[in-house]
Amino acid sequence: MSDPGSAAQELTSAVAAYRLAGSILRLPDGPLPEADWAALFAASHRQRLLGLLAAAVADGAMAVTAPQYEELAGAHTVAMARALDIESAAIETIDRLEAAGIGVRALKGLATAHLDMHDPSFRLFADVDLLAAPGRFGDVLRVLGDAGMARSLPERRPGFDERFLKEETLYGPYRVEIDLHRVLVLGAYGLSLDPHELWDGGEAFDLGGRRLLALTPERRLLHACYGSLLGDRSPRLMTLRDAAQLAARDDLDADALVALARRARAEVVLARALRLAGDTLGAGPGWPLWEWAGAHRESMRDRFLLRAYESHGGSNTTTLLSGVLGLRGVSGRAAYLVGMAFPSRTYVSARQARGRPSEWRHGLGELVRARSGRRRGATR
Amino acid sequence: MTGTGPVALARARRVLWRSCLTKVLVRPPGAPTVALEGAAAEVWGLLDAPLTATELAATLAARHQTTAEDVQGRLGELVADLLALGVLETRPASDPSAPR
Repeated sequence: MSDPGSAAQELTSAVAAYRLAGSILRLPDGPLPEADWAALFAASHRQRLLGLLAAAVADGAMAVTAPQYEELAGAHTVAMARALDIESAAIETIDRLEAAGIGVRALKGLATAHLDMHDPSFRLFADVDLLAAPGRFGDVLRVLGDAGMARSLPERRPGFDERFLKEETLYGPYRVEIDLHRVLVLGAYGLSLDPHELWDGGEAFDLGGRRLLALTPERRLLHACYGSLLGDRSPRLMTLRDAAQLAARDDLDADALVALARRARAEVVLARALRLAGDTLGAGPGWPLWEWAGAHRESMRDRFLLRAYESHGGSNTTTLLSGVLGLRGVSGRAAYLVGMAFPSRTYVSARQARGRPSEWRHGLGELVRARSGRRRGATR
Repeated sequence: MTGTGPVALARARRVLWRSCLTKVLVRPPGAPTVALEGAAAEVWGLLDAPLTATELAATLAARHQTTAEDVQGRLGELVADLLALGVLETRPASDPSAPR
C-alpha cells in the first residue's frame, strides 16, 4: 500500500516541476478528489507554487472541478496583486537609490520571475531582495533611512555591517519587506566569498519601463543553491525550482560557475543542491553540471561546515558562529567574534527596548537544543 | 503643420502587470491596481506588440466573426478608458520599441 503522505509530496513536486525541461514528473489528468486537492492546494500555497499550479490548470495540463478552479483563481489573483505591490515598492526603492547615485542588483524572486520563468506569474515572492554594491551597504541604509525605511536595530558595533553583516530588513511602501543584502547567505559560506565577486556585470531585465540588473545566471544559480541547501530546515520547492531552472540552461558557463564556487569554498553546496533539485524535481541528467555534481567528493571541512546550518542539524547560533571559519586572517576573525559576542551598548539597549531576548541566553539555549537533538539522533 | 504618421496603441511602458486565470492585473505608476476582464483583457493580450486602432478592430472582428464596424464603437470607448487609466499609451506606429 502506498504512503498517502509520499503521494501528496510527489504531487506537489510535480507542480514544482511543471514545464521544467527534462522533468519526468507528471501531473494527474483528471480532477483530484476533494481531500487530495485540499492537500495539494495547501502545500502549493505554503511552498509558493500557486503560480505553477495555475499555469498547469490554464494550459489544460491538469483538470480541476469548477469549485477548485474558483479557489485557485482567487488565491492566485491575490498573490499576483501582492506581486504588483512588491514590484511597485522595488521600483520606488531603486528609483530613490538611483537618484542618490547608488546602484543595486535584484535578487531571488524579483529577478527570477522576469529572467528565468516562462511567465512572471509562475513565480510568487513575498518581498524585495536587493544586493548592495561592495562598500556601499551603509550608504544604501542611510539613503533609505532618510526616506523613512529605517532598520529595526542599530549596527552591532561600528564597522560591523560593512565587514560582516549578511543582510538588513527594512519596511518599504505598501508594507513590503525590503531585504538589503551585503552577501548571499548567513555564516561561513556567506563570508567566504568576496562581495566584489558578485557585482560586476549582471543580467538586465525590464520592470515597469526601467532597466534593472540582476546577478549573472551563474551567480543566480549559486544563490539558489545556497537557498536550497542552507536556507530553511527543509528545502523550499520553489527555491529548488529556481536552481533547476538555471541549472538546465544550455548557455550556463559551467566552468565559471564551478570556479566561483571553488573561490567561495562552496563546491559542496553547489554539488549537493544540484543533486537535490534534480532528484526532487525528476530532472538532472543532461544538465551541464549533473555529472560533476554526482562525482564531487566532499571534504571533512565541508561536512563540518554544513552541520552548522539549521538544514543540517545546526541552529541560527551555530550558523552565525561558523562565520569565523569563512573569514581569512586573524584580525578579521577576531573582529567578527568580538562583534558577535560583545555588541555595543546602543545595540543591546535597542534590543531590550524592543522586547528581544538576550542573545547570550537565546544562543546558549539553541546550542544546548542542537546538541541534544544530535545525541537523540545518534542513539536512535 | 507638424507631420503626424499613423498612431499605434500600446501597453504603457511603465505599467506593471500579471496574468491571472480569469483576468489581467495592471498597475500604472502611482495608481491602484486595475483588474482587466473580458474585452479589456483581450485588448491587453493583443497589444503585446503595438497596433493601430484599425488593426486592433480588424483583429477583434476576425476573432469574433463580425465586422470591424461592429467592433469599433465599443472598442473606441474601451480604449479611451484604458488610455485615461494610464494602462495604454499611444506612440508612432513606426516606433519599434514595445513593452513585453
